[in-house]
Amino acid sequence: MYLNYLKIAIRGFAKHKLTFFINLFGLALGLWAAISIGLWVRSEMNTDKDFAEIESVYQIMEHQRYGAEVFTTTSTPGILANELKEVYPEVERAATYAWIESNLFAFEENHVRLNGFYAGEDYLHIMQYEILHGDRDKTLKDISNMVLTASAAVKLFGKTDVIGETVVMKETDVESSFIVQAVLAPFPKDVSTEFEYILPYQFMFDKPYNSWLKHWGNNGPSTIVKLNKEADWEQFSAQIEDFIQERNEGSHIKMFAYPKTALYLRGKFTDGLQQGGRIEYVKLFSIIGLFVLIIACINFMNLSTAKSQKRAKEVGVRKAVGAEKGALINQFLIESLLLTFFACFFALVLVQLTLPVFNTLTGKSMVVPYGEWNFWLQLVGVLVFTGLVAGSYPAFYLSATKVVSVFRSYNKSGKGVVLARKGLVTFQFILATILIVSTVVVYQQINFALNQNLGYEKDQLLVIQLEGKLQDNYEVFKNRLVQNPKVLSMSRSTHSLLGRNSNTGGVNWEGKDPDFSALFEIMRVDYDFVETLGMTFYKGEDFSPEKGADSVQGAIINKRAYDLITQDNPEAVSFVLHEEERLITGVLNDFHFQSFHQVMEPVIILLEPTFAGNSYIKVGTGDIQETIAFIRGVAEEINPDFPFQYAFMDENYAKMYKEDVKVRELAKYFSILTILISCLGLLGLSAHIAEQKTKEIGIRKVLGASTLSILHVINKEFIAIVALSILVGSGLAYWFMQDWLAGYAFRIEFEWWFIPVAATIILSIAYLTVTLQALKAAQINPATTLKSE
Amino acid sequence: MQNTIKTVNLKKLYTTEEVETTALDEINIEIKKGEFVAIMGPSGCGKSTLLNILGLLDNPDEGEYHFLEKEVAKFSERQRSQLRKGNIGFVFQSFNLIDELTCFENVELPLLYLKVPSDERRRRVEEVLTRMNIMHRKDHFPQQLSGGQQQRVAIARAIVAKPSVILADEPTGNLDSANGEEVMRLLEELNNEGTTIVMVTHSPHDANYAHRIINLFDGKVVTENIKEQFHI
Repeated sequence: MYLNYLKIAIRGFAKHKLTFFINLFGLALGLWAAISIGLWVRSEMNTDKDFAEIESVYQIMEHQRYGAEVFTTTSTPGILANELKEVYPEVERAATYAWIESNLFAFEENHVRLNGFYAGEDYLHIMQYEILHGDRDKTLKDISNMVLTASAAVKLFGKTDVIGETVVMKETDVESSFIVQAVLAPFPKDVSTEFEYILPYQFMFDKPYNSWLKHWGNNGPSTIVKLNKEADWEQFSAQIEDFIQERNEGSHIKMFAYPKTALYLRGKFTDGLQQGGRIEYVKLFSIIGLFVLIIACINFMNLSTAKSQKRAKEVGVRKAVGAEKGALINQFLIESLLLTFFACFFALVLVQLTLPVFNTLTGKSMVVPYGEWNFWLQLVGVLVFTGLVAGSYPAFYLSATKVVSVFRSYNKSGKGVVLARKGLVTFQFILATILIVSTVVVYQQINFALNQNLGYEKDQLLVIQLEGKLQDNYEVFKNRLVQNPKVLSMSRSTHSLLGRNSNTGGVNWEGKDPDFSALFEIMRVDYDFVETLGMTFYKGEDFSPEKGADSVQGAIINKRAYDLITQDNPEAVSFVLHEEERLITGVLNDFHFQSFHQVMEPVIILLEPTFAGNSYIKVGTGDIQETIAFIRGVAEEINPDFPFQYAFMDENYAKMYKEDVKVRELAKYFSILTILISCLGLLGLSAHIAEQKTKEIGIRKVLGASTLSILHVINKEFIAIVALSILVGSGLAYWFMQDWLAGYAFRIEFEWWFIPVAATIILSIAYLTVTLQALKAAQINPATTLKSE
Repeated sequence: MQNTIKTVNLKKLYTTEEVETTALDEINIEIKKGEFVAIMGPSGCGKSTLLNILGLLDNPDEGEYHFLEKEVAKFSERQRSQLRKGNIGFVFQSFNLIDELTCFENVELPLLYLKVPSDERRRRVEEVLTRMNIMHRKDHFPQQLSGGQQQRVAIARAIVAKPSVILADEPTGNLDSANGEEVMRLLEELNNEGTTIVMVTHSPHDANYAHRIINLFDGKVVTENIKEQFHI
């Protein structure tokens, strides 16, 4: 019996080639999207989970209350890890680790810049990266130890077995030697942080300028712990809540432990509660994947029911010779499963071909896990789902065909099915509209963020890291550069202007409510900072050498900070920072130093350039390459040991939106795909409608209808459907996108013209598709069509 | 003698949005086992509707229908389909072979639904194809055959499950006279072997093969003639 079904299906495919290919490609594209997104979701869900005992690892986090807002961070005091280990027996391991930075390392004559971080002794016992060479117990025990990744070892030494070799790290003021104690194997596929080396945290901690790490009031590095098997993490988390408050009087910080495995996807907190995060993207794209797949399934349903007149005879005959309804339903389901199976084969080929592009787009290195049984299991799950969804409606509809209809020469699709078919097409185009309108909104928002007035001028602004001799000889460097008329101005700062770098809650002023606290961002800068960055003053003026002590002991703040300081005392002219009174010498109009997801924060700018690592150079328009070559020449002359590195501020700024840009690009491709699949369906459907209407068209032609008026006969049905879809889809898209835009502190308004733009795109594509078919039908000689009736 | 088919006051209405048409009105007929009955009448008189009801493809709106001594007028589609299987064979004017299946596979279909084992199926299909003199074309598709050949395949399909009744709807309507004659002879032969045959026809010549003619007009039985009274 099943053999008979297969035969019928395959011979049917061969006979109705257009329908077959439309169904095949539609489903293949849908499955391709679903599999690609599935791979991405899988990778996201697995991120940071592929470590031994990772389920006992917790990130120590802080809720910091400032005014009415709670700011949640992984920044902790630099002395927290050891104290936690001492106080709580359930803490089996604890380590402090710092942010990723870039440093220059040398082995003999080979100089290589590597990215890495400082971490405490227990770090590799907590995050159990696989060790290729070396002993885990020794790794970061001594201040002169070092851990390299295999790829970094190859960069430095040309091989991986380098235990005991000495590497020199070249810093601005000092050269330090480290002995390689471990080489890490290549990382698991899905890790959130990639790095090339780890140095002992103690080395960083001991530096005189890092004495701030020793205070409970300062937060900077992160802390990670591993609890023993018996420990109840929630209980532990509750216990440590006041840990910092007990050690730092006046602190408002509430500490908690958070599962490391949840941090990547669910690491975003709003007002002290976990909310959103990357899981939102995972959900968003899962929905998109499902949408695309359903749209493809709808194509199949529509074409199958449109074809039903042709199948009615077969159904009738089968019933007449004894087929029961169940057997027919089975037959049609098998047919759709078979087609889904073929489509899956094409989809896998497409996935394989497009994976490199998809990897670039998502910044991942995914592979199709052909060797994993659960991949196949999931794939079969998706196939059965698709086959059943696509096949169910046609199966039930067709099997219910009244067998009597076999004997009637003229059989028309019932009202019900025509309505259902229209409903399905409407649904399909609603989804397409949502995707298109959403894409337009996402585009607008991202472009808005990228081109927004930031309160400073990011164009023609070069950023150069001050390292090696450039830091000590900054004045020489600057003096030589500003002689070139193309270098308009230059300054330096500790701050990157690309997110929070350094902040404090320890700001007081006269009349301040003791319960009020706010987090102030601190920027330590040199003269000419405001000019170089093109910031504008709300009142007051810039630091200048002529003002001497006034500048050194004063401070420039932004408008937001000014509003806070003067909220209780409008006459305030100073504030106290770390027990030192600072006179406000200038107030800047607000500027952004974080992404547009965040609101404007208060900023204090101090004239303390000693440890400034970023120099900002405003260059004139014209031949920028020539200017850069000039700067490079000067930098390399002063600082020959360090390779010259520069970046443009606007490019750095764009990197803050990397995730948003990824979403934008992905959304764009998937909405194109959706339109493509929907139009495939429309193409097939209009072909059938044209076929059904051949008699009507023939009669109209005989009666003198023009081609144009015949086009209208076919087009009108679709235009109404598509117009309705646009209306409903736009409404829904408006609703969804309001929600999405709410994630941005600074956002565009949902403009009314987004809808006509999407509408025009969809209508014209739909119109073209249908007209293509209608034109063909309109050109048939009526003599042939009428005769055949 | 046992009645294969008996109807009592059978009524069938067709309703569209605006019009209600009485397709069959107070039909009372009896067909005995082994009879060959022709149903005649002008187009639209309800012949095909009657055949559909007799063939358990459709239910009457009123009245009784006894098939093999069972009251089936109110049967569900499922029950009808169970009863139809193996008991009724159909022969249509337009043959109604499935285009995607070969002759062999078309004939095999009723046996598949009866879950006859494959060896037995092959034997029986080959037997009827041979009998219908179409065995040499068993692997051809319907479109590759002449009308006469297609109808022979259709008859083969109708009888392969050895039904007690064959319902034929204008079996010669699409055939030339030579092929039509052959089909009629085959039906006669089957009737002689004991199969009850009910045939709808326009053709007085074909009706001549029947033992009895039921004439329909506007959904009513107007006359019933037995062979001796034929005035053709």
